[in-house]
Amino acid sequence: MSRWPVLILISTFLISFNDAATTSSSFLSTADRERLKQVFISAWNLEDIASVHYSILGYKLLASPLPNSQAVCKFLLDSANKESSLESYYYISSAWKTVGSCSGSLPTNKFVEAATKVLKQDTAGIYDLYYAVHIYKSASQSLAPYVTNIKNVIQALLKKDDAISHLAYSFHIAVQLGNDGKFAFDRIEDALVQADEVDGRFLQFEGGLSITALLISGAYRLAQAVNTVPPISGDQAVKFANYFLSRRSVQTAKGAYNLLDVITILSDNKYHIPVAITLAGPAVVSLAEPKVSVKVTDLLGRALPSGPLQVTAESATRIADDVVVLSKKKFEQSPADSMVHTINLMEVKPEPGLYKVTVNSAPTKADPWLVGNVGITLPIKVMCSVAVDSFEIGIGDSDQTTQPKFDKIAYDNKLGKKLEVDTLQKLVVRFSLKDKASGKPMVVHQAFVRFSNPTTKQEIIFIAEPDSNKLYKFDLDVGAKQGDFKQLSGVYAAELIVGDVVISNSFSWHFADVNLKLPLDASKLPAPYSLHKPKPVIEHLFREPEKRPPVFVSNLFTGLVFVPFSVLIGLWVKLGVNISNFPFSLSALGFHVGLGAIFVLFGFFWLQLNMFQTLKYLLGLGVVTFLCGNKLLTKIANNRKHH
Amino acid sequence: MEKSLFCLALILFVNCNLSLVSGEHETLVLLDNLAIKETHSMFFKSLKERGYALTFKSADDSTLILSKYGEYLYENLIIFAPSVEEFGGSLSTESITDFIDNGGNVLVAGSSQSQDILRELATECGFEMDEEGASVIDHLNYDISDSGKHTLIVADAAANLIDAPVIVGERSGLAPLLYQGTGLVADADNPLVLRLLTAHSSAYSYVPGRPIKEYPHAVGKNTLLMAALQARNNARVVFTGSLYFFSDEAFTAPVQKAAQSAAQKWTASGNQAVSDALCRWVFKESGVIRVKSVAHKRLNEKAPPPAYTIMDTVIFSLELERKSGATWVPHDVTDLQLEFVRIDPFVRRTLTNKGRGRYETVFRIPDVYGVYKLKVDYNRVGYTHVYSSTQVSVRPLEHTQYERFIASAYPYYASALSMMAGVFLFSLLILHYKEDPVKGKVE
Repeated sequence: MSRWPVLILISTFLISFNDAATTSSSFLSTADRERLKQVFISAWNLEDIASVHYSILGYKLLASPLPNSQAVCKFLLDSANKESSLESYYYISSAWKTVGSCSGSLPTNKFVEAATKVLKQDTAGIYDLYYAVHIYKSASQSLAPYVTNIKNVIQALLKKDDAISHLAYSFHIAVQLGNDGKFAFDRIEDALVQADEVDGRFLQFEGGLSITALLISGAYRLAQAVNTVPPISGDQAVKFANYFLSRRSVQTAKGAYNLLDVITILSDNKYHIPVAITLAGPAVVSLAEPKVSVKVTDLLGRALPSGPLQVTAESATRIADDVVVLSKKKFEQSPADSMVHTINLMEVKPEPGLYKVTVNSAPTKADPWLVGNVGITLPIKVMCSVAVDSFEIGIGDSDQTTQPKFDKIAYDNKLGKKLEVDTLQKLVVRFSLKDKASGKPMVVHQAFVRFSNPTTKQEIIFIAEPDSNKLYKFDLDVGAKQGDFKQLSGVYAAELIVGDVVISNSFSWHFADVNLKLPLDASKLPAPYSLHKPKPVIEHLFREPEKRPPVFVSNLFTGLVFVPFSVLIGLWVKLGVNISNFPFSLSALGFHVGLGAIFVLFGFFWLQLNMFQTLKYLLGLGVVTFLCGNKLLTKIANNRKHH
Repeated sequence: MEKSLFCLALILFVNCNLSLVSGEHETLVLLDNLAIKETHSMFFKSLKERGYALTFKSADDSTLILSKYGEYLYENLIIFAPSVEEFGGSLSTESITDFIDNGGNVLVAGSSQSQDILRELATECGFEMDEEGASVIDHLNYDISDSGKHTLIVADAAANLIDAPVIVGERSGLAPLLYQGTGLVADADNPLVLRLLTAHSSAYSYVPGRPIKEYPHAVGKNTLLMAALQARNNARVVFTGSLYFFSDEAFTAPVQKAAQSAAQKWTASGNQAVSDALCRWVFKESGVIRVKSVAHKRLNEKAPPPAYTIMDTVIFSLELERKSGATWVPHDVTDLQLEFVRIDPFVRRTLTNKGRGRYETVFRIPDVYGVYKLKVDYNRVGYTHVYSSTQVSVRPLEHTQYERFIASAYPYYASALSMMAGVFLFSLLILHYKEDPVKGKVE
């Protein structure tokens, strides 16, 4: 039993959702056309025949003259002689015809010959057929002899593979066959079922913009050619239109041309004219600017063909609580521009907030082919300006023993003194925000208190929360929140940031400087470690050499050390030392020379030799000296005995 | 011979594990739907023009695969799929983090509709993305074309963009940036995370329209609009909360802060310039440097010795080069440092730039012997991490290398010499002395 209301709810939701979906909220503006023109401009360096072709056609749709038609004509002629594919023949002949004013003549016979070959085949591909048919058209040749063949070939092709691209091209071929194209008309429905819906707002075919545009333009052209209403619903037409308009930023010449072409068709056909109801100004009303203007146009931004319109605001609903503030109010046509209609929304004195306004536009004389003209929802904001009221700041003990003493600050001023707060105290801020016009207190989305430390650039943001009387209160218990400040003392700038989508004067107000006394001092902290900075330079500290006595002292003692030796020599000279016992024998010479050599060796050991070398030499010298010494001493001993 | 003595341990991470992939810049692009390919055509076009082979796939395509037979099929991964709930095929958060661990580069753009899978991936990379539905809101710095929720915010090049031309291009003269999407936060202590684009102080990330009941996920300058991670293996990851940032619409849209006058209007946003520079960086076209050569020897010698002795004077030289397109060009900086390390650095000094990417320094080896490393560890914002380490041994003085003639020791030398001379003379005298009988009698 209780299930029904739910179901009804869901279905109404779906319906309203669909209503919202099947409208266009934009059209191809002058800026968009200018942007598309920029896309075509790149083709004028005349390199690629396909993009030149699309650009020429695009310029024609934009109704702007070619910048250099002579060079283009020459390029087309040159390409006609150079190129040999059917595709380029198609581009050349179609572009030539569109330019119209070219002097000289194309080798049309060559083109037609190539096209005829394709038209006679019974296995031609769909693209070749498309090119051939259009070459015939450009050359103003009659297709009558081949109509049956073309029909058969296309039908066979579609039977084999009814891909979207095949269908799209076959529609365009069928258009050229006039009434004989009816066979393809029946396939429009097959094509449409393949469309994908995106977000409930768009319809598109797999393959993107070009193929979707080609198919839709083909379908409408074909419908006009066979003079039958196409099996496309109004909703579908609007959803396709939405898709095309969403792709306004296309960047290829081919895509841009196809987009322009299909939008032109959609604003100029006998069956469906999607209506674009767009805001002609900002989507914002306030007491100063109470009027909302909408522009009702076709997709190209032109006036609708059906004559004068009656535009009505069906309802205006506040989004926050679904309160309807206005219903069935008529727009007035602007005297300056017949497409623009305005309404004064502030007459009903809506509260600031976000609203959605549902707009209908109906022609005064009924026109069933206008689609997407009912139930357009436009988001409208009712703005106000906000004022800060009774802003108070004070310092109290965090254990609530003393009541804080408040200082008042008027908006946009700064507290004259610097507030000193330590960890046992708390900072208390109270204020209320009021609608300047009505004086009613209001609640905003953003009411933040920001503390920023000018030296460390650190910022700490707290939220001020309103109580039930819409009075904002912000308590900063410094001791409990010191972690947020990284325990750094310093003079922090305190700012109040107030912002909301409905207030026109969101602000950031530096209301006081607060000196927080916390355990750490920013200036004494080490620089933070960074992976990406050069590290401090390290120079190795070499060991200090030991302190040495002055050289003079060393030299003096060196001299003193030599004194005994010199005294010895001096005395010996004075005494007349007699060593005439010296036996001039080999052993005596050997011993003394050897002894001397050992001492010299020690000198070398000191200066340059290493121990192993020294030992090696010492062994040789030592053996010789020992043997000689032994013999010498034996001899001396024997001599003494004889005495 | 000398080369074999040259004991060089050079570790370069620059050309790491992904050398398997051919030079085509194979890139996998994961999309929510193929319409994104069209709405972001300028972005993809510029990538294609620079030689990237882009493979477009729907993010929930069941045939998704990153590696085959243990080799990665792609160098780069672009995830432009904010609303995907689960990746298709073999793709998952784990496989993407594995991809990053193996040096793959990833660019991820979310939106205010980002799903948990992206949030999970963000967490793996060190960022936190706000919950579904939340947007960055700035009531003071929103664009004039904002739809009324103040979520199309304007970020200023000078105030909000990181000062790293190699990552985001030149800041001066750059038009403001348009951003619409969710906010990120990153741990301030994570040294690998780069805060590329931050919001203004007045911004916060919250669900528009819902009253603020709890502290917002990201507030003020803490709100990251775009963040990057260069992992220790030089894999690069860029996360942003705005898919819109890369769209054709954002590239071509004029920018004017609602609070400013029309005179301060820019005809086009700086998004394209930043996105261009950013793509070059994240896909390692720019900011890739490596060591070309390392040499060390004693001053005034030609070849390095097998071992240095303490207090030798050493000349160390190194060449650095930077990738520029397909070639490598000399890279000139002023803050390259050399460390002479034995467990701890004993010497650290800045190398002198000799021009054309050559660096040199002359220093004295400390008076402590042991096994040392000549280490260059260069880590700068936006550049790949360059690490070169060369091991050398340093031995103590041989005894012949000590000081030989110390002035204060002259008395000792002299006494030793006089001693030896004395011994020599006495040996002559004692052995061969002949008493003079005449003289002796006289005395």
